[in-house]
Amino acid sequence: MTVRQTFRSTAAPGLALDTFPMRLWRKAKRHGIWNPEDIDLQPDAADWQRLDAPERDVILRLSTLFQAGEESVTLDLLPLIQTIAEEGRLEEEMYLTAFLWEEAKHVEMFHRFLREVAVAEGDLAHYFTDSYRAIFCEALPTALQRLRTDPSPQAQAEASVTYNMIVEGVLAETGYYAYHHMLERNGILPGMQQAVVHLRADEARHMAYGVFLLSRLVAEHGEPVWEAIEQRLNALLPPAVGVIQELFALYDPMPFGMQVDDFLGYAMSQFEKRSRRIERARGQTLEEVLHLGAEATDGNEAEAPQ
Amino acid sequence: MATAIFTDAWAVAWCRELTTSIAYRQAAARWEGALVLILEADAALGIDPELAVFLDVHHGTCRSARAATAEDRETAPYVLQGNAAAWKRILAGEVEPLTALMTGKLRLTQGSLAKLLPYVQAAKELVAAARRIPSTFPPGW
Repeated sequence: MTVRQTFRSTAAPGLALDTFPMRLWRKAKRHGIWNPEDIDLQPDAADWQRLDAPERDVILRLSTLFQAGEESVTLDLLPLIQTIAEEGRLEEEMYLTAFLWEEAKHVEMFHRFLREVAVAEGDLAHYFTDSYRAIFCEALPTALQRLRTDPSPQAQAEASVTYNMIVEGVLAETGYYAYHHMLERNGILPGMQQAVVHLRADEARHMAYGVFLLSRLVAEHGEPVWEAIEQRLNALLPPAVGVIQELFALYDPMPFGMQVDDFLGYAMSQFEKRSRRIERARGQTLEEVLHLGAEATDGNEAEAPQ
Repeated sequence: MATAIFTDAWAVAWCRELTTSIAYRQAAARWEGALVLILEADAALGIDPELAVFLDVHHGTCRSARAATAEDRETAPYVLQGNAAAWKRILAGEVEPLTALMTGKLRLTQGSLAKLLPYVQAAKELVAAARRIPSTFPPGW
């Protein structure tokens, strides 16, 4: 039985090389080549011994949230890749293979930290707060698993809002920004500082894809998708912000001089930029969105120091 | 009787709604800090100059409300402003206040965002109370 009638890459015009997903794919190949095993964590292990109990606890807490978060996104991305593949969007799927590979490396990186630096044994689940569970145990897997039976544009938009805008955009990007800032300002854990630079560059490309995907869905399907995006934001921004609030409520004072405004101000400015880009798609054609240029990204998705 | 939005009478009606709202009282039980809410000028809608209301909200109730004075704008712990399109959607319940803030449609021009954010539910109930006020809107709203 013939299931496939044609092949995109052998028929004219072939791959759409000048589209936004292919640009992300090329950037991922060029700039996403880093190996978690190459990060030297021995200086970090030495620094760890010099930290006091609250300092260790907050770093361990953040690292645990990042670890479980990266595990979640690695597991939950597959239904979106399947949906994109079934729509025949070869260029997007090619980039998404890099996306998934990068998430898997993030899992490995934090696992190394937890085992080799923090030497964390036993179950770290006590670090997961109600808002964290609401997002990573409920909202994220539910939204992505839904695509298996409902790959509609609205369902894809809700999945991307959950994954790219909320999990990556509000929590991961903000968290890594503050985490790196904290380590750098205090001159500790140089290996993890280096690792987080790579993570941030990877995540910037991921979020750029999310902006593209949501923009494409809005340009293609109009107001029903835009309304789905807004309703999803209405539902998930409170628990997302709750994750940050719950973190800060646990420490008095917060170690390393971390300020909640550091998290929130950055989160808001980045979120606002992405929201505006997606909203512009309401007045754009599909062709314009497919060929989004540098304005669609933060410019951070290219490279990390080698 | 319906009152025009962002006027003195509307602010008073809003205050009354807040004081009788059990949901607001519970959500805002620890809230301290008066609010000034600004509807930016929009000549096309006949809003010129901008309109602003002052709500003296404290521990789940509203102690007083009025059209905001210049002094209110300067001294209120929290000032939020947005254009007509933003307020229209917020007052219609299409966009939650937190979403409006995070997407830049509503701007906190005075006060700490960190102090506001524990009161997301209170903000929702605040806006829900406003929606219960019989209101009139500018032509073309």
